[in-house]
Amino acid sequence: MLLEVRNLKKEYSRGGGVFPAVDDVCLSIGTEDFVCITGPSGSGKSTLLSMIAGLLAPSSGSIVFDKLELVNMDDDELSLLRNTKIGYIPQGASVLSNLSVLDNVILPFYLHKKRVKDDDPIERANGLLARMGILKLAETFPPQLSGGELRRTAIARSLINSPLLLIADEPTVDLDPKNSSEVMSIFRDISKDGTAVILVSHDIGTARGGNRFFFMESGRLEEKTSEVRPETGFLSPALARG
Amino acid sequence: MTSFGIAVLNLRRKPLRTFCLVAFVALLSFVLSGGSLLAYSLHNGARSMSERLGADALFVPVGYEGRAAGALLRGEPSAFYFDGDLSERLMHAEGVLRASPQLFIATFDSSHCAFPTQIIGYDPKTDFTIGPWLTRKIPGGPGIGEVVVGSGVNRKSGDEIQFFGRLYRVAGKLDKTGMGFDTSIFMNMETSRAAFKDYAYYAGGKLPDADNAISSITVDIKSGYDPSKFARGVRETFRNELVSVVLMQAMFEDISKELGLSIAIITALMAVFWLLAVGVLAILFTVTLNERRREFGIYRALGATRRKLYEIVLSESCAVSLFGAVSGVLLLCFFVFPFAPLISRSIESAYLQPSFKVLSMILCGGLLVSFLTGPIASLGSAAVIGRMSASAVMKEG
Repeated sequence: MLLEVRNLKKEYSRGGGVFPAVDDVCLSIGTEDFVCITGPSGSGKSTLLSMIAGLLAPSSGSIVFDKLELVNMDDDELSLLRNTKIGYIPQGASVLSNLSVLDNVILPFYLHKKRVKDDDPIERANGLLARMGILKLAETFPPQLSGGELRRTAIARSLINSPLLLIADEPTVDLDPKNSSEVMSIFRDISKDGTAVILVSHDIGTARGGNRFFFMESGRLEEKTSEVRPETGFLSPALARG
Repeated sequence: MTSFGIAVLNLRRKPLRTFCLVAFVALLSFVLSGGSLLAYSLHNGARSMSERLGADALFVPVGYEGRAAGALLRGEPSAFYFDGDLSERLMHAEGVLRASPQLFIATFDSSHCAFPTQIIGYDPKTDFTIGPWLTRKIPGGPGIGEVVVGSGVNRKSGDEIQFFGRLYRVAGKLDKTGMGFDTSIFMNMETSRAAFKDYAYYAGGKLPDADNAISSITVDIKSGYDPSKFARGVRETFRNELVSVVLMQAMFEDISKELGLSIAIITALMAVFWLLAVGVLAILFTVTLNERRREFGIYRALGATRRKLYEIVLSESCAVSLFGAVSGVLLLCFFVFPFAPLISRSIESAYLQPSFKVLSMILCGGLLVSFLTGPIASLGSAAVIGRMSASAVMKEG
């Protein structure tokens, strides 16, 4: 297994009580899995992703990624892990507006000095941009890009260090159906190429794009592989209540 | 793409914000370097003056005390004279240890003079104020028919210069003193008496006999004599001859007090301005970085360590400070140095710019303090950015 999450909890103090944002979540992901998680707002999806990415410390539980226990790692180790083995696409506008598309893509390469000298990040970035279909925009700055182009830039950037796991938080939100479909197609290709993907989306249709499907509500995560109606792309009534 | 490279890219994409920050640091650098230079030049001028007017007292005709100071400090052309017979008696007055006469001649703004200036004739045999430092630069001093010119006079050694229709050979040029000496012409007494005859010919009016004419007498007082009592005694003895005594120590004390106050005010203003600059820059950095929390959250999401964020923030403030500090110093060099004589005149006090070495040290000091201001001001906001929770920032959107 690439990722083993066991009894993961994240609790916050709120209104004098304890609020479980993520409640006893267990999850196992293999190297070729394309996991999609959906659920209502405030169900804990982004919090779960933040913990898996090492951006947020859990209250309890265990996260073992590539045989490393994240809970025991310090901030610098987690940063290095996130940089080298995890590609993270944050929710919303995540492309840095001060950098060109090319600079955005190569940025993660330079955040840590643990690179082999003959690895050319620009060549690799150009390859990724070509794969995303936006090579001609390499020198363009983000304010001049469309929503779909921004997402592709963020995806290319997340792949620059050849991660084992790609985490995408709402990567298709505010995209039109065509762009949304194209972005999901890119994720499927990435998954086929051997990079595991965890994707969170409000949109059920988008969430169907993976090979494993999870529903999250009130901090609890449940795998629901058989309850999606293939003909409509919507969840069964039991799941769709959220 | 180093942290500094990222910082420069960030700054380049926000030209207005960057320009404002750079301009503010440039202003700080200009004020700190300029203020330090001004304070040092005033201090240097006072020291130079004290060294070159090393007499205890100056005898001048009553009513000419201010003009004597103006001639020595600011090089204002002046002509005033004692009666010839009186000078011998004054030089042997009660309490005088040693004395030396000086002859002041004001040249004209006319075709028979090179330009209007102050000629100072001194007697090399008795002189103890001008000669010692003049002969350090020009051994032997000026001979007969020769002059030594101040640093501000537009002649070099070997040139000729005309006064009252007569040509004089320039025997040498002095270093800058920050005083009236810089625009003065020095002659030995014999040459100056010849020049005085020429002057009398052109000036007309009632003037003393050239062989006896004396403008002032520099005096050292015997030890054990109180300068004030000495001055009072001389004034009483020569009451009818209208002799005034200018005590150099008192004159220097007044000037020193004035300069000390000016230097203290300049230093205080610089300190206040620096503190203000640190405060304003800290607020600017805090506001700016607060607006960029999400940007830094993204850096963290991409794997940047907290240390990396510090590096980027501090690199940005260092780059801004470096450009600002260098611009301020260049601006200072561009505006202040060409106008140094004007500044000197407008200050109406001893103003002597330091040597190149000291000047470089002052400018480097101003540059360093200005440069450090940015990083110091951004330390707080860098720490806040480093401590922030990337996860929480991402949720904020």
